[in-house]
Amino acid sequence: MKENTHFKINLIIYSLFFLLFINGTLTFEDYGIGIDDKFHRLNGFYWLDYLLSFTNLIEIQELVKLKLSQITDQTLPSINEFNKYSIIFDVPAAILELILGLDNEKDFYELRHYLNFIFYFVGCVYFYKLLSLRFNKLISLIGCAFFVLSPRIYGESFYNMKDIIFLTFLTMSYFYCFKYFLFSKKMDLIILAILSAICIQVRIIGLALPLSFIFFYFLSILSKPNHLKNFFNYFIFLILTILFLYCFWPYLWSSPLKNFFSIFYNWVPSIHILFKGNYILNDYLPFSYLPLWILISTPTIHIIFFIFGFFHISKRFFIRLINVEKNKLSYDFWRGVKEKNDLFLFLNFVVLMILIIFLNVRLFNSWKHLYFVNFYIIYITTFGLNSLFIFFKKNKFIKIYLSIIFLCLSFTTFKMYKYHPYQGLYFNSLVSDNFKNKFEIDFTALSARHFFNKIFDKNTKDKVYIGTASWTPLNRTLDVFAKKEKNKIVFVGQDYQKAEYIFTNNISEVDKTLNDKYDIPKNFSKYYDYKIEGLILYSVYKKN
Amino acid sequence: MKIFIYKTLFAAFIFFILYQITIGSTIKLVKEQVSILSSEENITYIKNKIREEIISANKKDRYLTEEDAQIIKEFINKIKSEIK
Repeated sequence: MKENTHFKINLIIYSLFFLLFINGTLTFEDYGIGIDDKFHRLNGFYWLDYLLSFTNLIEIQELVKLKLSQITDQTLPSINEFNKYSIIFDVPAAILELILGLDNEKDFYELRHYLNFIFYFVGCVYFYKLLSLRFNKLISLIGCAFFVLSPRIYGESFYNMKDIIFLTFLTMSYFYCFKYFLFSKKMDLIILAILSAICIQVRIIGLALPLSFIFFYFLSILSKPNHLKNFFNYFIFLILTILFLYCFWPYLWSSPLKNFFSIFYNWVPSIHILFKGNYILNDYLPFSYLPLWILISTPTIHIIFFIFGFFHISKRFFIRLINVEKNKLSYDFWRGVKEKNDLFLFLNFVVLMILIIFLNVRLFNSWKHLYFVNFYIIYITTFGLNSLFIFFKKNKFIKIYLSIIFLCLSFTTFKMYKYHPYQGLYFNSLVSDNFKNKFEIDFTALSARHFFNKIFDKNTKDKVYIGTASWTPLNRTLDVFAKKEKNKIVFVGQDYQKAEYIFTNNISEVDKTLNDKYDIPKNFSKYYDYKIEGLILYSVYKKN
Repeated sequence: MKIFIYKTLFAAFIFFILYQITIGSTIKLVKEQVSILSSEENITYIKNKIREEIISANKKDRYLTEEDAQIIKEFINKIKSEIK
């Protein structure tokens, strides 16, 4: 009987992962090209060229140089200055582009989108594996469903080549970290060192993982001094992490220390962003910026279970903290490895959030740079889910409880379907239409594809002049179209009187109330607004 | 020893949060206001506003009320007499 249930759950798990993979495979072409895609392609070939310079593969290097010279755009930052980005996604994508012999720009980007999704898919599998180290199969499955049904993360999994990749490697790292806590195998420690090095390379905040891993080791020494015998393992872990970081990151090769510390220089641009209807400078974001963004762009069901889980773990930690002196037999802050895992993630989350909120980290484009936080949020959500599961199991309300979860997740799935392909711009149902439009929305200009499709449908002329009343470099999104169509479009920037149409959205680097740079001239009138669920993605003005 | 370490860590954490919420947030607010006031955008905005006011003043038949004009006249005359 028990084996039969296990078989059924396994079948559901494999079916759902298969469904996710098929869904991604069938829909990855629907997503528009974002403003970052071109830069990632450039970054990939730039570093591939550098790596090939150490080999004798001259013909391939010439091909790479040719590709590199073809990636031009006046709005792109210089790759020689902005070369600190990770190579872990961009270089394999560039190699794949060469192997597959692609020569169409649309294919270049769609290949990357699909590869991006595959990385995310692997992240989902690892998230499930991580949960199953801590919870039972059913809870792990539901927790994983919460992870997949995080609309913003799912949507970004097709085109966000930094934050989603970081989320994936972070999930994998934590999985091996948990495994090491459980089984203390040296192989897990080596894999953890590799993955930690990759995490640091993708986002410097990845440093938090090895640091907190070592910090927790010191906490366990304080409880049980005999743990000092493992010191050598942790020392080796640290050395290996540094070694792998150096090996995997060519940026460090020429000048390791100088280049590594240059990463900490705040190179995020200082710009105005629309937040709660006001243009504020991202140097001075209010403390509410990150919590509010998470609150309005995460499904309500996630938030409810998260609050419950957060409260439950906090309470347990607080009880352990005030009982430290009484406790002699077990560890000070945890009773078993599972509890240690919970606390490890919980403290990582709390410390990171507090540092990000209070240290004035420059952010823009909602909480995109911090999408990795969703990993912690869903883990704590699953913890809350599990606590209530145990409670309802005792009271025999378990079927009602599971049915409610199923209904809520079905509702989120429906919303994601309605948002398609703009799940990355999701707002939850509690947010009014008026409030949603008081925030910056389509920063990466995914909806530009829709805009250009409309332009091509309505205009048969040879040239169409487009003005841009937005900070969005709209020209970068045109690569999804054929050359003939691309040549039709002439961008006139803010020289509005030359334009036939003006594209605008609420992305502006300047304070629109003080600066008239993006003011629409009076001889233009609104043509249409492109909306999804009351959310205005962009507006178009046409010359009278 | 371990209790001392725990207490130190906990106290440092609480101190950091309290500092940021009280002094840190005030410093941030002052910095933000100074940044807004001295920003190029704000200076341009104020310049334009003054320009608009002057243009609108030029269009009016009379900018000052008779009473104000009398007060300013007397004031200027007084200053003139004092700096002779």
